[in-house]
Amino acid sequence: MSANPNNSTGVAIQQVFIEHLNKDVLELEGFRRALIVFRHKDAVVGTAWFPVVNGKVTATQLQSMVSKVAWPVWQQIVAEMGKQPIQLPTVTVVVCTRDRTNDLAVSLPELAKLADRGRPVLVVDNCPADDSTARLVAGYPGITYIYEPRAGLDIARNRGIQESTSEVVAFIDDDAIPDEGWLDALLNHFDDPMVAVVTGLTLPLELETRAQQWFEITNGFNRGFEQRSFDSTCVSVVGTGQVGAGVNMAVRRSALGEIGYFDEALDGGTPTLSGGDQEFFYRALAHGYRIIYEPRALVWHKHRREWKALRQTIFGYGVGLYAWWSKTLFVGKEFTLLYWATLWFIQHHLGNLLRSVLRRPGCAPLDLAWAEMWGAVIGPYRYLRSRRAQQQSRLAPGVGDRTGDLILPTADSETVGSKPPASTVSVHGIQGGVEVP
Amino acid sequence: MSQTHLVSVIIPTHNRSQMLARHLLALSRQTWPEEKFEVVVIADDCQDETADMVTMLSSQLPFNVQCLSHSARSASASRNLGTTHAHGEYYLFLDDDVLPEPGLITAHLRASGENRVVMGHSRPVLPEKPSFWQYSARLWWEDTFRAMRMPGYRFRYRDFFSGNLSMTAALFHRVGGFDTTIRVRLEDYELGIRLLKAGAEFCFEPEAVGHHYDFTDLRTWLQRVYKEGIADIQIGQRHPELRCILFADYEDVRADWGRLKRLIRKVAFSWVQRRDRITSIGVRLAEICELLRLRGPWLHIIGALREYNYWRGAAWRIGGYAELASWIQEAPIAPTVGVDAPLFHLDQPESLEERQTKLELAQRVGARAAWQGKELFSIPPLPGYEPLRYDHLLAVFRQEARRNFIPPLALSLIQRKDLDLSVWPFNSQTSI
Repeated sequence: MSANPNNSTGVAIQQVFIEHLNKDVLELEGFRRALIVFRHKDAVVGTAWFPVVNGKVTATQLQSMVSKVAWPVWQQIVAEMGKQPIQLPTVTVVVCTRDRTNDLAVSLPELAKLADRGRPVLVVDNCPADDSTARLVAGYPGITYIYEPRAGLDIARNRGIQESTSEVVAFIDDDAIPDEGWLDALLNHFDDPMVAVVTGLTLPLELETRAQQWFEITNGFNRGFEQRSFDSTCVSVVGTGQVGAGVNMAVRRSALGEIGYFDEALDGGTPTLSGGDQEFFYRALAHGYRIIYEPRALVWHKHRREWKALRQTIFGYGVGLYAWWSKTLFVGKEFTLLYWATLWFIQHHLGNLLRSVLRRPGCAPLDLAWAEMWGAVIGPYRYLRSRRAQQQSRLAPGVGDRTGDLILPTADSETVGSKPPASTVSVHGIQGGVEVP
Repeated sequence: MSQTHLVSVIIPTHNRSQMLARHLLALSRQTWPEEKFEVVVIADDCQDETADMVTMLSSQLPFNVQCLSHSARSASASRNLGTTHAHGEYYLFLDDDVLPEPGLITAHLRASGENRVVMGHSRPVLPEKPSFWQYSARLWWEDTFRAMRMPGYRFRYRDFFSGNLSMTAALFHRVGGFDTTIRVRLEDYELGIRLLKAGAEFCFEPEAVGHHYDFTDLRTWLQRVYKEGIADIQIGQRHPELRCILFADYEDVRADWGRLKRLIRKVAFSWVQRRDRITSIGVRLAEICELLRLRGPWLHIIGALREYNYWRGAAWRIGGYAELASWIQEAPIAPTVGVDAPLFHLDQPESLEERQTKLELAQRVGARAAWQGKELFSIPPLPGYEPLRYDHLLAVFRQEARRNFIPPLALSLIQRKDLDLSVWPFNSQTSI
C-alpha cells in the first residue's frame, strides 16, 4: 500500500479474479493509479495500489503482488473443504440513515434484493429534516420504513433492534452497498453460541477525490483478508478498533440481555460523533463473548467526498474514541485505560501531529492530524455533555429509559419515541407505517 | 427410535433440594412421554430436606420418582446405586444442577444406539455478577461442546461428561459401571476409558440441552484441579498404557513458558508435605488483578495456579519426583509414530478396503498424512481416543492447514483450477 494521493485525480477501483492474473487490466485511461481488488470466487483475497501506465495495469504488475493473496486464497479453499450445511439464523437488516437520501437511493436496490430473498430490511430514518427518505423507501414495497424522532445513530440502532424479532440483527450504513453473499457470510458464524458480533470487510466504493483517498489510506475500514476471532483472552478488550466497525456488522439479539444495548450517549448525532460501535464491541468482549471478523462479508462504502467532511469525520473519530474510553474507564472501571489512552495519545495523536508538522514522508496533512488530536482532547468532555443531554431527555415525558450502558433485557419499545408501539408496525410485512412528522 | 423404551433418569444430589425441585419440575415438561421414563434421585449425605421434598413433590409429578439415600460422598457411587434400582433400558445421567430443556430426553433417545454413549449439551448459566473465571469457564465449556460438533472430531475419554449423558443399561453394566475406588473426581473419565476400550461409540447431541447452573469459582476450581492431579495418577495406575498421554505436555519446554512450568512442578513436588500457602496468595493476587481489570496478568496467574495445583495433587498421590520419573520411563511420553506407519495421501482416492487396512495398522503404529506427495503431519497411536477414522485425518488436515501449511501448496492447488502458474514467481520459495 504505497500510495501518495497528493493529486486531485481519481483512483480507479478494479476487481480482478485471481484466475485472470495473466491478463492486463485495461481501460483505465484518465486514472493515474488504481486500487486492484483481488477476488477468488466470492471473496476478496487482497488489495493493492498500482500506478496506471498507458491506461492499464499490466499482468506482470499484478503478479508481483500475488504472494500477498496466497494465504487468504488457501484459507478459503480449506474452509470450503470442511464446509457443511448449517441452519442460518433468522436475520433483520437494519439501515440507519439521516438526511442522506441520495446515498440511500444507490444502496436500496441491493438491499431490496435481500428483502426479496425473505430477509426483512428496515430503514430507520433518524430525525430527518424532510420526508425525502420516507418517499424513497415507499418505492420499495419489500423494505420497511421506521421513523425515529430522536437524533443519534445509536438511538436508531437500538430502535432497529427493538423493531426486529429475528435472532440476528445485521447493520449496514446508508452509504454502503452490500456485495453478493454479504449477509450469509456474516450469519455463518452464529452457530457458535459464544459469538455475539460478526464484523465484515469494508472496501471503498469510489476513490474519486483526495479526501476519499486519504480516508482509505489513514482510516479505512479494511481489517485484512483473513478471518479473525477475538475474545478477552486474546486481545485487549479496550482496543476494539481492530475488530471491525459498525458500518458492517451483525449482532446476536439474545446476547444483548447481557451485553446491553448501544450506548445512546455515543456515536453520530450526539456530541461524541462516533464510538458507539467500538464501545459495544468492548462490552461484548468484556462479557466473555467472541467477535469474528469475516472478510467474506463484503460491503462497498462511499467515503465522504469533500475534504471538510473528511476532516469532520476524522475529528469525530478522535472525539468518539476518547468519549467511549472515558465512559469505559469510569463506568466499566477498566483502569488499564489510563495507561492505554495516554500511550495512544502520545504515540498516535501527538506522534502524527509531529510527523505532519515536520512533513515526514507518508504523514497526514496537518489539518487532519490536528483535527484528530483535538477531537481526542475534548472527547471526554463531549461524552459528559452527551450523557447529560441523554439523561435530561430521558426525564422528558414519553421517552423510554434507554441509556445503553444499562442492561435492559426487555425491549421497552412501547415507551420509545413519540411513535405508536412497535407491534403496530409490521416488521416482516410489506410496508411499515410511513410516518412523517 | 420409537417411544417404547423405558428411560431411567438418574440424578445424584447433595444438599441442593431447591435446585433439585426445579430440576424435577423441568423434567415434568418433557416431550418424551411421562409413562416412558422414571426418575431415580440418590440423596448422598444430604443434611437438608431433600428426601422429604422428593416425597412431597412426587404426588404432583407425572412420572415415577424414587429417592434413595446413602452417604458415600461420591457421585459415582450414587450413580451406581441408582442403576441398581433403575428399571429402564436406557440410563440418562443428569446432574442436579443441569436443568433439562423439554426436548432433552427425546434428543438423547433419538441419538442413542446399542453401543453408543450420547453426550448432551450442558450450557453454562452465569450468576448475576460473573467473575473473570466464570466468563472464561463458560467460553471453555461452549468451545468444548462446539468442537465435538465439528465433523471429524475425535472423541477421547476426557469428553465423557457425566452431567448430561445417556447410554444403554446393557452397555453400562457390560463395562462394570463407575469405579468407586477413584473417589476424588474424574470417575467419569475413568469410565470413559473403559467404554472406549470396550469399543463404545461416543457422540454429541447438540439438541439435548440442559442449563448448567454451576456457580463454581476460582477457589473451588483449583480444588478440583488438585483432585484432577490425584485422579490422573489413579487412572495411570489402573490403565498404564494411558500414562503417555496423561502427561503429554510433561516435557514440553518449547511452549512459551515451558521452563516456568517445570519450576512450578518442582515447587509443587517439594512443597507437597507443607501447608499450601501458594494457592491462597495466588488467588489473592488474581483477585487484585481482576479488580484492576488486568486481564493479561490474571490469565498468567490462573495458568500458573492451575499447573501448581494439578502437580500438587499428582505429587500427593504418587509420592515424589523419582516415582513420577520412573512412571514416565515405563511408558514414554510422546508416543512415537512408527517408521512403518501408513501414509495417507489425502488428495488421492483409494478403495475403502485399502483405507480400512491402513487405518487398522495406523491404530497401532500411528498414521502419516500427505498432500500432493508431501508429508504434512503424523498422528501417533493415542490410547484413550476413539479408533482412528479417515475423517479424523481430514479434520486434522483442515485444522493445520488454516495456519501451518504453506502457500506453495495452496498455489499448486490453485494451479489445478486452470490458472497459468508458469508465470507465478514463487513455486518453491517457502518451505514447511
